[in-house]
Amino acid sequence: MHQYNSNKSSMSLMLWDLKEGARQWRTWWYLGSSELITRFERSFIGLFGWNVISFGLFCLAIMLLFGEISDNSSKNFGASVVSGFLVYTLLSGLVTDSCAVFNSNAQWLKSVHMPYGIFVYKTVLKQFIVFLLSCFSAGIILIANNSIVWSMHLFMLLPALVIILLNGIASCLFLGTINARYRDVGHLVNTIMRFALFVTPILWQADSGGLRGTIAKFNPFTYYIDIFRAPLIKAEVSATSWLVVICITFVFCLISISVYTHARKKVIYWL
Amino acid sequence: MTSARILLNEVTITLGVAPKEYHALKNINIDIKAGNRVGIIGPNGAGKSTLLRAMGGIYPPTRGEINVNGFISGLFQLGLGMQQDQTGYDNIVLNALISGQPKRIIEEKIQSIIDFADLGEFINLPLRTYSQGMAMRLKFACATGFSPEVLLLDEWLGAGDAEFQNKAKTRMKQLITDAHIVVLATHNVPLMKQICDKALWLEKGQVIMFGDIDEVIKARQLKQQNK
Repeated sequence: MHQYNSNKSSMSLMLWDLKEGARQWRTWWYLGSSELITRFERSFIGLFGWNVISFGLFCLAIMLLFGEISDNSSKNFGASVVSGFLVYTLLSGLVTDSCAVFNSNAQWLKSVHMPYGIFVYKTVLKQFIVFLLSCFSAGIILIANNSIVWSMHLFMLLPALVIILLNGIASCLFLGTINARYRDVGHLVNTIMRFALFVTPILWQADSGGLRGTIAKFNPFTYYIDIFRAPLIKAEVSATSWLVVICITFVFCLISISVYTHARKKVIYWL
Repeated sequence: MTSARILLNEVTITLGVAPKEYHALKNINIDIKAGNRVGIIGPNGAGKSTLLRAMGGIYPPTRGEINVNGFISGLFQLGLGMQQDQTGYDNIVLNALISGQPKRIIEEKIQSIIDFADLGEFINLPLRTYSQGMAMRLKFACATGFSPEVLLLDEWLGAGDAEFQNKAKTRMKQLITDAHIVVLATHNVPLMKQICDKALWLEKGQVIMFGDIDEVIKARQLKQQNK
């Protein structure tokens, strides 16, 4: 950095964090990938192997158990659980990891003046890489089981992923900031995400009406999972789900950015 | 290119919440120009580290304005900004990337940084295998390897063995002859005298005196004797 002026407004700092952070992609790419790789240092099978094996075995077990008990009306139930879990793991990874985005990178933030955005992108990148590895094993199992419906709808997976990652960025700005100040937030979020696993239609299907239907209807995760799962195994794209997701994302981004902007100059003192 | 300069105007940093709040720094006005080597002196808790971090752009001031011209490099706590599980080499790359160096410059300078750190085979071993002195050498090599125009050092002088100290001194003198700024905080006054030409005397977050190093040290000794 060749010039520093402390008079920048919080708003322009926030924009600088996001823009300059994105420009320095090499940095967060390097940080994120090396953090993942060093976690598997001296492991023979490594990052790729262990992720594929662990998620693969998990999916296999689900297919065996849930494929077996499903009746005719829900032939695809095993595939639905696998793909549901796939997205939920990404969502929950993003949400829980985003709480620590500033806390766990405090040592960097306290040593160099740099755009905080680097750590936001790094956090999202790490989850995304793990997701891609899980996709590999989930993909093999789904294809082998003939569960993927090959259609043009599959193209909708891309925007679905983009919007989920965008929510991840917003989540870092929001949860990362408030967790820097109130350390209970991280624990609360962990609790909620464990709970959410069971109130989201992953291990069960949302029938219209009834208790399950109502729970699914008011649970935002239902829609985030649907925009990815429906095109994958049902060749469907639900306009309702997309509309809900877009609305939530819009509001969430607004809240995140205003919270972050408000606290930007204080975050470092909380770490 | 504009020449290096650090300008602080009525800088105040307030910490804590309303009833218990206190000023870590209070109404600081300093102007440090290119070629200045400033030593910050003062008792523990005077605000030396906070001031250095504020100059480095890490702590935004509650009130007032900080203006720094030039490429800043800071050495604060040891271990900050180092990855224990990564090799020395990877840590150099990481430090360079984090301070915003473009890839081309990193490739150009990395060999000279490795040479200065002088770690031999250890450069390819994880940092956790390093002694404290070795980690320090690496960090110092990283911080000074890209010829910073503003170098901020917190308690780094007087650390390490004699050989490292000499190397560090030579490198800092070289930076200074290039009309760059060095600001350092230390309790080691004799060592500071060898490097600095100015001193900033800080107490309870306020500047007591800023000027020629000998005058400031004399004034401080006088005050301590009168106690």
